[in-house]
Amino acid sequence: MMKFKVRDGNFIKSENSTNKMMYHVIIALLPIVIFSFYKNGILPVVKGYGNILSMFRPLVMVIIPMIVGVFVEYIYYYIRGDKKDFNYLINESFAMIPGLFIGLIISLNTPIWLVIIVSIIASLSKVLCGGFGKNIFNPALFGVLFITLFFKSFVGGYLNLYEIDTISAATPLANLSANGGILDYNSAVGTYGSLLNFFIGNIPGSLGETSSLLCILGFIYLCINKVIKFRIPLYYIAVVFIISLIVGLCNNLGIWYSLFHVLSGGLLFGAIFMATDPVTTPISKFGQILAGILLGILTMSFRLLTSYPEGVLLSILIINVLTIFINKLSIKINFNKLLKGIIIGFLMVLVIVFSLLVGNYLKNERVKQVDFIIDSKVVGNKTTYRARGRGYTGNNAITLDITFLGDKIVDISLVKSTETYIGLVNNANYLNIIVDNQDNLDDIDTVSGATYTSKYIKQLVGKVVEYHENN
Amino acid sequence: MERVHIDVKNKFKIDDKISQYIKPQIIYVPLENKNGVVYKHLVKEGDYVYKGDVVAINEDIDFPIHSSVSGNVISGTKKLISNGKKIKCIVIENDFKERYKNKLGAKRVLTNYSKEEFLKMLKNSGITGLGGSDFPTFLKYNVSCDIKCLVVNGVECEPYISCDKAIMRNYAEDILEAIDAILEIMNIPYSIIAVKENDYETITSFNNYIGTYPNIKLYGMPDAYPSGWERRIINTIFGVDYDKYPTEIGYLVSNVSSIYAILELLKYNRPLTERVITITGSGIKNPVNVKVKIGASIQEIIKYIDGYKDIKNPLFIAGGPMMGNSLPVDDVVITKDLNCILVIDDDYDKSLPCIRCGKCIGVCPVGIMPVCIMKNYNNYAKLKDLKPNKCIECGLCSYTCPSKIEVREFVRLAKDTVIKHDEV
Repeated sequence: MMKFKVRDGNFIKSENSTNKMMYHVIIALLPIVIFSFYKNGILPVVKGYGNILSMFRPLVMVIIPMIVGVFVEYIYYYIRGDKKDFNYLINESFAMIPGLFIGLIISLNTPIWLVIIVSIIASLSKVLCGGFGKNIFNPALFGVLFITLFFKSFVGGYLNLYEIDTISAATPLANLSANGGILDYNSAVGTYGSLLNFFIGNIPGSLGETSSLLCILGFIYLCINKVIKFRIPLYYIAVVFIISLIVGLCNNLGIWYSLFHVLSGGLLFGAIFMATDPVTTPISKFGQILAGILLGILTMSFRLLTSYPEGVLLSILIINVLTIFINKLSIKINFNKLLKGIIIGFLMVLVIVFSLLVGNYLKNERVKQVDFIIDSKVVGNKTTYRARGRGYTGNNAITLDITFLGDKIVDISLVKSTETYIGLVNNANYLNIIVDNQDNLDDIDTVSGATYTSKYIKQLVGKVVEYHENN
Repeated sequence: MERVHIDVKNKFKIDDKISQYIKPQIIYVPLENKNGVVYKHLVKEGDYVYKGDVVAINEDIDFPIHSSVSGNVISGTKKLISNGKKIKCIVIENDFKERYKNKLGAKRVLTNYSKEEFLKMLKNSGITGLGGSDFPTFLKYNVSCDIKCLVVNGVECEPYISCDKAIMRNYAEDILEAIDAILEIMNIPYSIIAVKENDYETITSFNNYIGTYPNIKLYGMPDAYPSGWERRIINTIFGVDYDKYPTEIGYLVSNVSSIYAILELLKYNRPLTERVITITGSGIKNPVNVKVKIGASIQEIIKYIDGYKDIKNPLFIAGGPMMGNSLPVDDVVITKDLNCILVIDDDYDKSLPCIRCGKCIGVCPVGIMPVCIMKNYNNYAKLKDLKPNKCIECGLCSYTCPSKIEVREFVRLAKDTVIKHDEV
């Protein structure tokens, strides 16, 4: 009689394993890392900017958080008296994965010490929840959110050395947001070349987010290997497309406006790689569809209705929190197909209603914009206009009194401003400079540190001059 | 629902030939079947039994078990059966004479039976669902409403099992004949044989003869798991669902092995004493489909087919790799429900934490949420919404889990929790 080992369970297992899934994600991210190394490291050097040190900066930004992640987990388990070897940390706890994401979503010019802090916060947010598989938040996003909240002034810009010199604007979305969410093609896209640049990734932005092409290739790769919850990015991107299409149509903008929204601001990167993180997103199909639609609505709300242009990060973190409720809901109505259909249908209707409301709201805001002269007074031969205009922080952020004597401006004074860096403008005596150079407004340099504020002041003055001449 | 095709890493060479080993020294008749149905023994130590004599009976439904050999009853013992339980058995020593008490073996015209006669014969011959359910066939066929179609299940969807396939390829003509006879006796308009759509050889072997039988059609089921599940077959062919049994909506589903057993019954009017099982796996020297006496010990048969190959961590599995049970010894009684013995290497990796990827939900054929059931397997209040009782224990959740967690075992525990709570 032969004796055999006994065990429960079934006796044939799929080839798929958690290990393989994680390595598939790394493989899908690798082209993006290489591309960003080329774009932000090699290309500026080739063009004559920076040195060997700056060339490797993109790689350093990726590798340091990965190493820090592993060490933080090592130390955490060491202190808890539950020492783990590096094989466990790398192959079973996947301690380096949050680091990889951090490198790809953080600004290129963030100081290294801050990068280390992000990584520590990220890894702690994971291990304190109970380690791999139990964390509530996407660790990388949590870390980045933490520093945007507490270390905002230290976070560097997105532009690499070459871009700093050639592109005056910030990221495309910051540019759009500063203009109230609605811009014409030339200002929104033209500044960065064409939409093709958005697609390939030749625009300013964090390391991972710029190349839509590589993100899409990664998506295809991950879908073929059945690694990710593909419904989340599909619905997410579709909803962003629909909302921006309707908002664009309300404002007489073409389909380029939707593509612009889809291709910029790390939407594809976030949707494909971060919103599909298995641990922190809903488990059922229904939950995933729900999450995708909500993500789309949230992201577009952030982009169009707040001054916080990059809504992807925050949307995903919000969905991380909601996941527990979405899971509960999908358990409750798991066997009720009709109700599932009704909820998704209702959300789609909500998406359309929301887009129409937002579209019209933005249109009205733009109409208000034209009405920039609030008051005008004539005293003797002097005419004084009180004009209100857009600033970096909002639509009516700057109010000026501009006094004309004949055709010439004799005085500009600031009545009210909600701008953050208005102090810099005052210090630079910028208003007087405008008065002195009123014939050559275009040649006046902006105030460094308050580029946008000074630019808008200049624009407002220009508009008032035009108005004065026409009357 | 995601269609899951199970990839098999190692294929074990097994041909269509059905070998025979029908001369066991001793046979065992367990007094409880794998579903826990108890049989009462009707013979005692020292009795002489003929082949085909009733030795035990399920008194509730008057359903018999027969001796598959002739010989003397010796003292009873406890033996392992396919579900891993040790059950008290009647032991009969084979005298190799194969004697029947009365000459039942007269050949008759297959269709020369009334429906009532046929049902009575099904009962008296002890035919059960040979696909593995061990559900008495006469109960299934005894329906009051009109049957629209007889569906013959030839989809063996579990990897490695090939006994039904071997029967279909070898006895295609006989099976068609049997189906035709059943259609006439039971007054069923037509029949559909469901086979795997990519099993060309089986399809060809049916196509050679099917022209003679206008009422029988072939249907190709996708090569996926669990395509052989009754509910899945009915849903794929007819696009309808049913509540508990397919006969409610007029469809009668029978396994091909059962159909073949019915043929032998109609032809020779003999009780069920033999069946074909698959013995395969990396730990078996010569994988075969072999016709065996019901009640024989696997140990003896494996010796007959040249025994084991040396492998590192052999597991002895009664049933297929998805739904079978791992057993501690090979001294196991062949019961009517046992269709496969698998000896494979245990390449079990230790499991990682659940990453909530939701793959088990995506593949579940009954649409429950295995991962949520697993997390709450002890919590009755939460299990109410999760309905673990719908689980058919197909094992796809455990198969697909990237963290190699035995999800199904937790669902089984959850079922127990619900049952226990409902009893209280």
